[in-house]
Amino acid sequence: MAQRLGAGHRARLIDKMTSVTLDKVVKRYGQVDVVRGVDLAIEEGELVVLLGPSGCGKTTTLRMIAGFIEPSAGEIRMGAEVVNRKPPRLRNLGMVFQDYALFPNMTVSGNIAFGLEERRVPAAQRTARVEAMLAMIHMEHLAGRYPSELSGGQQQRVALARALAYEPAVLLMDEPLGALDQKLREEMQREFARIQRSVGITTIFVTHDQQEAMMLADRIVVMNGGVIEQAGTAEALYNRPASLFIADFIGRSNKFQGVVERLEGGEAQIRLDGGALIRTAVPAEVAAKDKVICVVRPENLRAGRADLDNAVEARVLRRSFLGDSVDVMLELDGRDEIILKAGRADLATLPEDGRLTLGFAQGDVTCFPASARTG
Amino acid sequence: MGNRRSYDLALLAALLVSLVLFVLPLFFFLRQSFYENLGMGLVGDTPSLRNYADILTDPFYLGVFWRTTRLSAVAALIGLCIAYPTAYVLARSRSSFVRGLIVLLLITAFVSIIVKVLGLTVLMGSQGPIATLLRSLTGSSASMLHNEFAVAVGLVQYSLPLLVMLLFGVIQTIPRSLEEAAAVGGASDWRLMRRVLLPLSFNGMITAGLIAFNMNMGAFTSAVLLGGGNVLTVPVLIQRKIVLDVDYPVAAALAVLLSLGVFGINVGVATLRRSPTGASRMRRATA
Amino acid sequence: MDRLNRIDRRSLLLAAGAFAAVGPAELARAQAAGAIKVATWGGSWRDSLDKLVGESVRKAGGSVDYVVDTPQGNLAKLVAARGGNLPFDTMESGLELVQLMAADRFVADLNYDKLPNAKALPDFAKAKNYVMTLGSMDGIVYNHEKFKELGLEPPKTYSDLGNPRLAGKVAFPDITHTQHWNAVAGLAYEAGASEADLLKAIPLVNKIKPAYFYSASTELSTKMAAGEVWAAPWHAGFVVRLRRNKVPLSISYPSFGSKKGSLWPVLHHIVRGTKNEALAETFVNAYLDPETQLAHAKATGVLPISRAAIKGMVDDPENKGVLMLGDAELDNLFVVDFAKVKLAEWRNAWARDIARG
Repeated sequence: MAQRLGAGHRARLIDKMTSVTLDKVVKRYGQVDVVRGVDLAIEEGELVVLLGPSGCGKTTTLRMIAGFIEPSAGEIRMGAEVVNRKPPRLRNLGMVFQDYALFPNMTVSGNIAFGLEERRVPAAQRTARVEAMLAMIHMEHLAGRYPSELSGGQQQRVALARALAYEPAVLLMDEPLGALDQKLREEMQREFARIQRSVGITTIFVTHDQQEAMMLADRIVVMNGGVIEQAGTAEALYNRPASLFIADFIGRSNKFQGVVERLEGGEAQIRLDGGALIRTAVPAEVAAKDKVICVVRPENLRAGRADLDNAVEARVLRRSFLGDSVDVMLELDGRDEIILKAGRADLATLPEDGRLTLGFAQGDVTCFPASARTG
Repeated sequence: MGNRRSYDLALLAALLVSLVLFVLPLFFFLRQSFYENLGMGLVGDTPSLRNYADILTDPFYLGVFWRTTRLSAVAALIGLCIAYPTAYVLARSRSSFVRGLIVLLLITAFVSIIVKVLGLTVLMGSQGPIATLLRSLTGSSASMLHNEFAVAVGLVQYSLPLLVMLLFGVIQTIPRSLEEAAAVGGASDWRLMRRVLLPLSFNGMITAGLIAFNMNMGAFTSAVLLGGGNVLTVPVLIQRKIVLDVDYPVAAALAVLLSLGVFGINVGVATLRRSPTGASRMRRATA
Repeated sequence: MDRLNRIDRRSLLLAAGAFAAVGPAELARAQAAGAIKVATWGGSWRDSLDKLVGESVRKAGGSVDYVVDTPQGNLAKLVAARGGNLPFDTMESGLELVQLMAADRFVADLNYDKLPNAKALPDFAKAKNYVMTLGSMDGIVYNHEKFKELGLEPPKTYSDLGNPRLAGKVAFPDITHTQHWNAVAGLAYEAGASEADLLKAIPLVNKIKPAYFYSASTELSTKMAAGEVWAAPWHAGFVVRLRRNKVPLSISYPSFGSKKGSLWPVLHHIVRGTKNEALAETFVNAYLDPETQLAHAKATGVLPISRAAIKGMVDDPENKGVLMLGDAELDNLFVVDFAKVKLAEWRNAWARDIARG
């Protein structure tokens, strides 16, 4: 379920919000299905991030919602209306493009006013609206500049203001921050989050950057191979990945391969390939003798805690100091390479090299059948 | 270093050969325009502007210049109108087959003008498919050849491949996302064209149009073969002055005036070009 | 495999040997005799000329090549060469190149001792720097089938081409074309003037309002054959030649005052400064050979200069009924007196006063 962050309290600049529903949407190019049956209901005012590796179908899905591509099968609805064949200009959308797509022949004001002019908004109203938008992005002083005279971040803001100026029902964002450097990117993420919350518009945001997705989204929809792999809040995806792909794609994961030796009331004893025996819950479809892959987040491994539910022996390879934490690279019986994320407080207890006991709680292990896709 | 040096020397040699083959004869030809014609290739020995004055005060010559300019401009404009949508489709197509058509276009650009004109002669003649169709519809039809219309068609046909290729390059520099942004913003195709595509390709169209215009101004074959002796243009007049009257001075003066006219028109039209993006403003600011 | 290879190698060696023996000899012969270029008209005329006259040069061990254009165009090439690298060694021309005849700079005086075949020619055919080789018989060439379809009588005068029912179907020889002069002279006569006042022809040309001014006969041939053009002042040779391709053409000969039909003499020059004078003379002399003249005339539908040769054409099935070959008819042919033509005035008027398009 979507996590609604007080949608009702937002000062709404936009009243004409709408929900967007995708019903078994398919896009086929020749023999290749790029999108293979996507079901997704986006509520009014919700910020949904479509996340996935390149080629997963997220951009195609967004472009179908925008109306640039017609679905091969299935339905796209805005509110109750099926919009499959409705041209983009009639869908009342705002969109921010990866390359910003600002009109180089128009000033900042001109760009922001574009959609208002196309909608024949009276001049006085238009001017007021452009000024409000300029204030929103703090660029009143640059109203007369041309896009080529702006920095990347400024262009990005103008693109957002242009998309919101005519109060569209839905805002679409196609990897809008991809071209910015890391620091600016994070700044823009905060800026965008601020504006989106204050406007309260239904937003669909495409990115391949999981950190960006976690920072922005009410709900993250992870796509892979043309289908939705899992949808949910960032927390749900991180803590309860539905597949090995999600565990891999969202955050970092240590993977242990092993075989189920004994199965008792949902708890299994698993013999890792390195020889250690661990205890954990397994999914219902796993039977005794099955091969499984067990996943543990780096921060859930505890150095020297042989007293926890499970413990394995590992050899320290190297450590990386990251300021607020330390990453320790370890080797498990010469097989799997694993990462331990330790707080600064634990630093003193870590040996420089040599062997180390890693403990972890049963609840921090998630197992998947080894036959599962890894994406 | 040594290699570089010999390479430069080779270039220098090529330059000298070009000078000798091209610039020198041109110089001697044009120099004649200042002398009186004594017939059979002989010229007088006191330089004057007499030939120029004669041409510029003669309504006949002025009429020929006007006709040439008008035909060239109309043909360039028609060419632009046909080439733009064609180039647009080629530039925007994702189909590799369609984009492969540009290679075909390139090949047609190498086909001799004579062959192209002959094709048009068959197509537009009174026995051609168009006339035959008209005849079956209306009961009567005539040849469309041997008039200014036919010459204009020939000029358009000749410059079209080049125009399409030039505009193809221009349109490719306009990101497709601009069109999508305009569509999402509520613009119809017509508004998109007027507000985004045309302003952004305006300079490219001016350049391409001028190139086609210049080609048209110098076009001889189309005017002769499709005009059927009915369309006197400056190049035809120059050829007749040389072949018929053996009057090199007036021919040279006509050539000089044609070049000056073309140059002036190019300079004049090029001032219509403008920076639609504020880029030049920034350059000025930083300079 | 191996045997094949050996044979190949042997035959290759043989071939190389043969080439070594023959090649240089051939080459030497060609160099001794040299190569000439002849400026002439194109198409079937050039083909026949090469077959019949060019052969004499090849027999003499030389080679001959052709520069194809109208006499006007070829004169321009000669002038452009400015006495430097000559574009050709002999050239065919016509009366319109009076300037050329007057300018000793371009064409050589003929040495009639080296042209024994000229002895049989009448005196008027032998000038200081040209010799008359043949003559075309000019008139109105028309598509008799189309005329029949329209219910039109064969044209009797050049002015008849102004018939509105022929609008868009009449071509007229442009000023660069050889057949221009008899056509405009004919119109001048029909306007009550003569070649001395060609300007009188201008209103009549404008009344005909030709769809097209042709500058090459090859071009007009295509259009006549395609039915694109139905009538044009031209010469009888094309009736003969195009009838071979089943094009239904006839010719009629308008009157020039008391004269009927017109002759356009074909002249031949040797270019001044040619490096192959002997070969050029061989070519011209062969051109004047009565047998050759007759064969070339039959092939192209023109008149040989000597009456004796003309007699040989009377029974030719192709030329009979197309050319007028009777003695009285030949005596009554019109020939332009070019001394009376005001050339510069006419060229000027032709460029300016003809209604075009």
